[in-house]
Amino acid sequence: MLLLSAACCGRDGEAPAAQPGAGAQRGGTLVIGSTVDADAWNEYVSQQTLAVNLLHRIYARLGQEQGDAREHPPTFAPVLAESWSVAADGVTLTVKLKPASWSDGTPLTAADVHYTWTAQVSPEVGWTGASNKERIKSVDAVDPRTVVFHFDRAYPEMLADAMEGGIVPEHVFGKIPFASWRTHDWSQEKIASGPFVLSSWKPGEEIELSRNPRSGDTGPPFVDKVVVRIVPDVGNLETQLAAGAIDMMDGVPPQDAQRVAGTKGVTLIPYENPMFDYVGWNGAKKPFDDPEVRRALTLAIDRKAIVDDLLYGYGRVSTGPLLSTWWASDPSLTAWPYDPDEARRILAGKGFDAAHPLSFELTTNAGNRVREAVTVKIQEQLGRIGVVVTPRAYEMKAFREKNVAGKFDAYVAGWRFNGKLDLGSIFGGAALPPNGSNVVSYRSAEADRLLDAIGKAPDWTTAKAAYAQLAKRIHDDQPYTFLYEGKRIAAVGPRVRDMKIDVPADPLARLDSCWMAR
Amino acid sequence: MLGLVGRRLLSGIPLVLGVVTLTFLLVEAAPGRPVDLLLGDGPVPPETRARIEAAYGLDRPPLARYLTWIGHAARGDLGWSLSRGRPVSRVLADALPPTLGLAAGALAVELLLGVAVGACQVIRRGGALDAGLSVAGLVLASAPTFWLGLMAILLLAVAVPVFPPSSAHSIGAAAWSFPARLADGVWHGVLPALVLGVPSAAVIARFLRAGLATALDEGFVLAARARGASRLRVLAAHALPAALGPVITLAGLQLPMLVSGALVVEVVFGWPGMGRVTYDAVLASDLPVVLAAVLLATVLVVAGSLLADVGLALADPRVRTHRASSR
Repeated sequence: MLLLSAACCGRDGEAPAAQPGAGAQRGGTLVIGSTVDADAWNEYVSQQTLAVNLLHRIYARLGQEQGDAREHPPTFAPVLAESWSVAADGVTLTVKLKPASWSDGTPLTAADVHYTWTAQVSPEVGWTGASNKERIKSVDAVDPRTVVFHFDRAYPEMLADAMEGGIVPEHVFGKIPFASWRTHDWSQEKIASGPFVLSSWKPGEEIELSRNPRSGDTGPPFVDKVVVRIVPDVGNLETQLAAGAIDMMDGVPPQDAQRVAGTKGVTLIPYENPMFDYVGWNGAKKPFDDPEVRRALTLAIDRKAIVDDLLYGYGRVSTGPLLSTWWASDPSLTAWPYDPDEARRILAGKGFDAAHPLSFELTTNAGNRVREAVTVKIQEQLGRIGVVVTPRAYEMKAFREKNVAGKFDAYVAGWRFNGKLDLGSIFGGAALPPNGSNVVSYRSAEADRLLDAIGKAPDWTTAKAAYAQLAKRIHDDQPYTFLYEGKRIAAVGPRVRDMKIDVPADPLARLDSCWMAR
Repeated sequence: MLGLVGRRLLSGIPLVLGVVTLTFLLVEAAPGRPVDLLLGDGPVPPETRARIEAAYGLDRPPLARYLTWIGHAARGDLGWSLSRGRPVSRVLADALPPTLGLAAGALAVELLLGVAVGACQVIRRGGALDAGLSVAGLVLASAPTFWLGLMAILLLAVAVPVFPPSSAHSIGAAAWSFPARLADGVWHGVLPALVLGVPSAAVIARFLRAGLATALDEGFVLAARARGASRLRVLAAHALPAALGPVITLAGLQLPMLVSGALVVEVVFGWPGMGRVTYDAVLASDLPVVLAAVLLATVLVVAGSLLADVGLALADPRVRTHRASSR
């Protein structure tokens, strides 16, 4: 399947096309099909991926991540920023803004950047990404085009943290008190600094973005409109793509990929999804508090078979908590092999045999078909070494409540990372519930020390070394059995040109540079 | 008749309150906290979770939230939708017109097609047409709705692109004139209305066929024939009113189902109606939307049942006579 997709699509994340921009035509409407609707039209109160991705096209950021975070922290291309520099003290970042205005003609100034930062860190707003800003002590609007970020110390991702989040207009958003942000209908605020402006939203049916009239006549975006049609049934979306009623869809199920790729004129674009799925073992409960038992169970789970059979090859076996596409990952760290004989030997040494089998319940969230299938697959694989697994799916809220309360043996879940990997809140000793998300009760003095070292690392090479040691520690302890890193699959119809998906967690990052063939 | 309507409306009030209260209790009794679904897939600090809970009033005791909601609902304020970021009244106001349109279309298909087919079957009772229509009706009534929907799309929107495959209007229709938008809406509604209405029409036809067959053997029909009434007149003016009772009851009871239970059709056709709103709200533990949707559906059950009773009384003089004498 991977060979097929590679043949169809060239590099992952890129549709075969003419040279980017060569012969690009202006005008037309790009119709995107989506199974979900937006939840709110304010990035700082929205939790819905589609909404946030569209909002990034409406409220521009200072810079756009370039999708080059494999070798080093990501670099940024200027968007609202014209340039930036770090002072000799290492903790002062000065950003010079381009001359720009909002779609209503009001100048976009450093005051908007300062106002945005106050919203991002406001407890009343409760932005879930506020941790990205925790090291920014203050933001000063020096003059209308100069803004200065003061950090509490130097660290590798200072620029990424400063750039995170769209800049919002103080003259519009400032009329709404922060305490009312979560109960304000933001779809009424039709203003933009990015390439598109929200022109209409029919909840449950259609979202329409129009070209921002102040985005310039010569540059991107090339399309006049982007229309998102909400159709909850993925089969209908695939049919509409084949019929030409929509031009693009994201989230083609892996099992449908081959069929969709065989549709005339349709091109698949598989791209990196910054997530991993795992089995979490309850470290506060016997026998899962024993790293050797956890390791034995990992050895008995054939993760390659899961990737091949359930993800149809659209993914890779996960080696540890650091995504393999992320600069901090250590390529020398390899996944534990599939070795059921060794697993059986270890478990026998712990007193588990045919007469006294290890048995436990493996839970997951109902409705996630892949994870439900994973629990059944693991049941079958562990059954081969005499371990009795009972798979069970719980409704999401009940699933989370059981996990946070520690009422579980093992569960299948996943983490998706937008931007930084916050491993401290997952594996840190201080992150046991209710203070964090360390529901597997992982405790390791060495891991805590390394997390602390990562937090204090002044540059990315120092941080990378500490990350490598942390990954090794977690790899050896196996609080999780790391299953796979998944890929998402987008598909585009024959009219779409130059659609690239190369920024993790932001598949619409290049929306303004794609164009529609007539 | 007015007394009947008044009594039924009054008796509906405790029913509505009871159903809404029960719904609140059931949603509250479900394990987990609604805020969990507002936090995304990444780790979130506990203080952020607490702030988000407070922003939506989810940190207050259930009884306080219930009483507040009842008090506000009585004044027409149905609360704030957690999952849709808008007032609940606007969520319902957006979802209700497409739903009512779809329900009206489906009801029309159901009644017109059901009565026509049922009458045809009785006219050709025992013949090949009767048997063929019975089998076709059985197949259509038992086919899964999502399958019917997908087949209708493949056949009439892709293979022979006569109707659009999804949504309630064309792209850019908002700028069109009202008649053009209306025509566009009807065009988009044909396939979902057929998929929703045809299986019910098969059930109606079955009921009507049985009712007509019985009525045609009754003495008053024989008397009409003896008076020289034509075959069509006997069927339409004498047998049909007598056979319509169960059909009207069935159609009345299906009204709330058409409004709140067209979920599958709405999902398959991307139709932005009440079924999806309710379903999504239940999954997202969006209690204000769930309560408002249940409130609306319960009111419709009462109204549907009342309409059926009134329709029955109008169609069948025996019902009127019975009610008048029992008073």
